[in-house]
Amino acid sequence: MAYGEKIMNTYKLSMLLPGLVLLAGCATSGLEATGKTEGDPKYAKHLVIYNEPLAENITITDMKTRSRGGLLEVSVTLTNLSSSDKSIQYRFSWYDRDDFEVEQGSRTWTPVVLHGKSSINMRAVAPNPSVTTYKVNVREL
Amino acid sequence: MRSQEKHPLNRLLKSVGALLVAGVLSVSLAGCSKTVKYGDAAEVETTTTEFGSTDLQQIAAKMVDSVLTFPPIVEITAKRRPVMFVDTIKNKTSEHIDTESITDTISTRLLRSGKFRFVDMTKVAAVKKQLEYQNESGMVNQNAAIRMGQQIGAEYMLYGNLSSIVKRGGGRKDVYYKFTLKLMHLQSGIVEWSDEKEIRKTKEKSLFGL
Repeated sequence: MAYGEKIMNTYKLSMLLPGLVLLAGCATSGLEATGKTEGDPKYAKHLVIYNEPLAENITITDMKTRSRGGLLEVSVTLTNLSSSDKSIQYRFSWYDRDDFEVEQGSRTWTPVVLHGKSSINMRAVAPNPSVTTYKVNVREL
Repeated sequence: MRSQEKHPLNRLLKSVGALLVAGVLSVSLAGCSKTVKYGDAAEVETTTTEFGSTDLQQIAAKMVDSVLTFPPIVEITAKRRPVMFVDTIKNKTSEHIDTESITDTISTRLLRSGKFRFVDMTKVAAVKKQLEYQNESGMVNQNAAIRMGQQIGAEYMLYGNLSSIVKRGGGRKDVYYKFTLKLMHLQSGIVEWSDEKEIRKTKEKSLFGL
């Protein structure tokens, strides 16, 4: 009887494992922060959380911009609230005054290791002077 | 008849047969599972520790951002678009790496920023041949021919190195890449800008030693 129970438990576990792996494999969503340099400053920055478990550990604590030779330079601070190291990826995308994406696909996902209880600055420069809005996506893989 | 069905040997043969069928099916299904898919070129690629697309993209992004925001370069490019050319990037690693591909990405992005212009030294021979044809072959109307000796010389040269340190030990492989890029003012020989991008990649042997 005990042996039978063990088999059943193993069976249940084997049924469960692929599901877990699949879920982990699909967890590619994360955080999306948008910053505008034009328009009402009240709505200049906003954050969308697509992955709540990730947002409990990783958060965006600062978003700054400045102009360098007419190009928008962005610095976004990402903080790891947990004490364990996190391997994350981020990507910037750029939009013009009409909200059209500029130089689509010019930025690729950048992998970084975010150590426990620490912050990093994700910095990027807009590809040309037409950029007025930026987006940064953060995900854990 | 019934006694035959219940015979242990018969049952064994049946189960062996079922296993064979299942095996053949799984093999044929595996054969059907080969599919071609388009992936996202912006994804992080971690197939091996060798130099890959993610390394190229990270290097290009860092170098372009750095040159475009370096204060003396911002000053130089504020009122004019200096002309530069790309010299080769010396590959000092033990791998075969297409360094021209890295400089192609960097020069394309610099050009598209609207801050710099380029002359393409890889096309000098083709341009010379075309201009000789226009000016010397007698085939082209001289009023419509592009004159020789009118090109603009590059003011800056972009050049650099790619080096690596590879270490192995205890089932672990550690690869460190360092990409250095410099911008030289040709007339004075002064290096106006330089930056480095470092990349570390590690690979641990998996549980089954694969």
